[in-house]
Amino acid sequence: MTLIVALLYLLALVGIGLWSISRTRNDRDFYLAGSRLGLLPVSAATMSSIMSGFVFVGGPGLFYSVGLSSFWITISSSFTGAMMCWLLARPLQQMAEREGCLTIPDIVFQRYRCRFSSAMATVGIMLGVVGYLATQLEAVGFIIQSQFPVSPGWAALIAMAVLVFYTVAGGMIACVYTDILQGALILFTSLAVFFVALKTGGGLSAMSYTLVESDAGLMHPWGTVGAFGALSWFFVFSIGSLGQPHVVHKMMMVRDLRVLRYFPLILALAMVLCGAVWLGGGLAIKSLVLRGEIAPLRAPDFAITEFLRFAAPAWLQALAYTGVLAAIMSTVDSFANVGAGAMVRDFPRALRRPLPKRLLWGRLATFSLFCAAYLFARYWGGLVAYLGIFGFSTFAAALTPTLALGLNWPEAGPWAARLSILTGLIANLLFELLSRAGLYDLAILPSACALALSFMVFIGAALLLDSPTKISAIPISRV
Amino acid sequence: MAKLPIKKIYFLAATFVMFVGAVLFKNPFWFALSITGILVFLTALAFPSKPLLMVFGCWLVGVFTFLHWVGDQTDGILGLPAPAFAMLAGIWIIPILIWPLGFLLAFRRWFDQ
Repeated sequence: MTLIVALLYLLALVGIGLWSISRTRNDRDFYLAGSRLGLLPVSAATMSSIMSGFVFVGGPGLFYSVGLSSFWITISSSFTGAMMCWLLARPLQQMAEREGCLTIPDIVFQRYRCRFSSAMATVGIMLGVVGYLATQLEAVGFIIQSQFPVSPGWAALIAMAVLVFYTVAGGMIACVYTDILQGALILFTSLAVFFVALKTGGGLSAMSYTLVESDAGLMHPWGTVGAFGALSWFFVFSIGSLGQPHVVHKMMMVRDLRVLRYFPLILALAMVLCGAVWLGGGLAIKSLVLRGEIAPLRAPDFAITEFLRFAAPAWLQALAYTGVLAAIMSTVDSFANVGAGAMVRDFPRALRRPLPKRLLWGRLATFSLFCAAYLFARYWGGLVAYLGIFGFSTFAAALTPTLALGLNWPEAGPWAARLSILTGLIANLLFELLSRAGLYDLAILPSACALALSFMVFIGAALLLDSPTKISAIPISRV
Repeated sequence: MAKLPIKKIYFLAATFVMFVGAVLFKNPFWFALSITGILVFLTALAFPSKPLLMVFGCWLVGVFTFLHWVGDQTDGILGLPAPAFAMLAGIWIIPILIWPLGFLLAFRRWFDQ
């Protein structure tokens, strides 16, 4: 049954893809879906690009490992949509419309008139894309392993083959309109899983009682990671959401700012519904294992698949696996688009070496990004959620100050952008490596430290190094 | 776009100083307050409604204060221990009624800015 539902879903995607091909006529159509999106497509596309294997597979897995404190990662999604609109929607939409910007590195170049900043933003995007694609590969790998008797290496390889085939074929128009279908499927799946979790676990009260009885930390907000760890996640995922290129890029696609009136409210409600799978799935599987109804998992990332196998009827299993597939594919196509655009369009332009035959190079770039992601996922060896956190924080540390602060502070200039992006990239990678080697000793998590450092460098450089008169003389809409 | 008052940037810089202080002195409550301050002062760069910013900031400070000082897991609300309920209701659900709904209500003002 799972196979039939998945095939029907894939057929629907192919139909939308074929319809979209005739509507893709130029670069603006390819990168920005023609900048003609209304409320429903932009809301669905934003939600679908946020929801991924990180949330569906990594979330319940992390809850299984560390308890309720893992929820600090997704908790801020109820209000970050409003922040994104206030801080980024106007400058991004106007720069896309008036200055012809198509990608985030274009925005960085136009805003700061600095090729180095644009090139560094491109490098940050490529690194983050590799981290995030690796997360999706690992997530699909776990789904494949739960259904077929294959080793983790083969599962990731099969996942890569499926995802490369899917993403190389489509452009952004296909992505956005498939996102409506995928978004609806994700919402329905999340709600269904949540209610089945409540029913199977005996209700919130019984499940939380089981967890508190076993280890009080599992149901405490600071829980097993401590207050600094939990709040570090809150800091990175609330502020850092303003530097996620695959999400903020959607603000460049709206046809008019009036479209956004209900956007934060719709996004917040949708994200709360989606967050239910993290909470419900994680809570249910942990309590079932603690009660001895399910054997301890061979790895925490099998939490959602084991829960579905144990508790869900066949139709829901089929729908849930398709929903997880939808969440992963909708994120992967956004990333492949952003990453390939960065490699074949933005980076060569920043080096003044534009590439001919961009479509061919774009497909090769997508393939090479997947290969890098596969190798990275093999090297990582940790939970899917931690891989997702690394991808998220790479974007956050590199781009958040440059976009969220820089687009709202006309006096900030190129030195602030250059130093902040460079600091964010180096600090995030360095702190992560130090942490894995056991040499990182601060109370907060490496990703939070890198993001804070990147902000402080931006503010310091803008105040001390940039020339206010030179930059503020140019209205921001013209920069 | 109007030139930004530098005062807003100094407030934001001050919250980052507080962030560093909280990390160095290992004080999680001040750390939570500094994150709230960063959220509010960063958003203040683009949104002029001080009441909406203050309500959000005060609400988060209230929830963090509760979480920091009340750790009793035996009190239950709607089937969840009180701190877990405060976290989920206070930071996940109720903020929808402050910023996303506030965005909708103050949309005309932001749009005409």
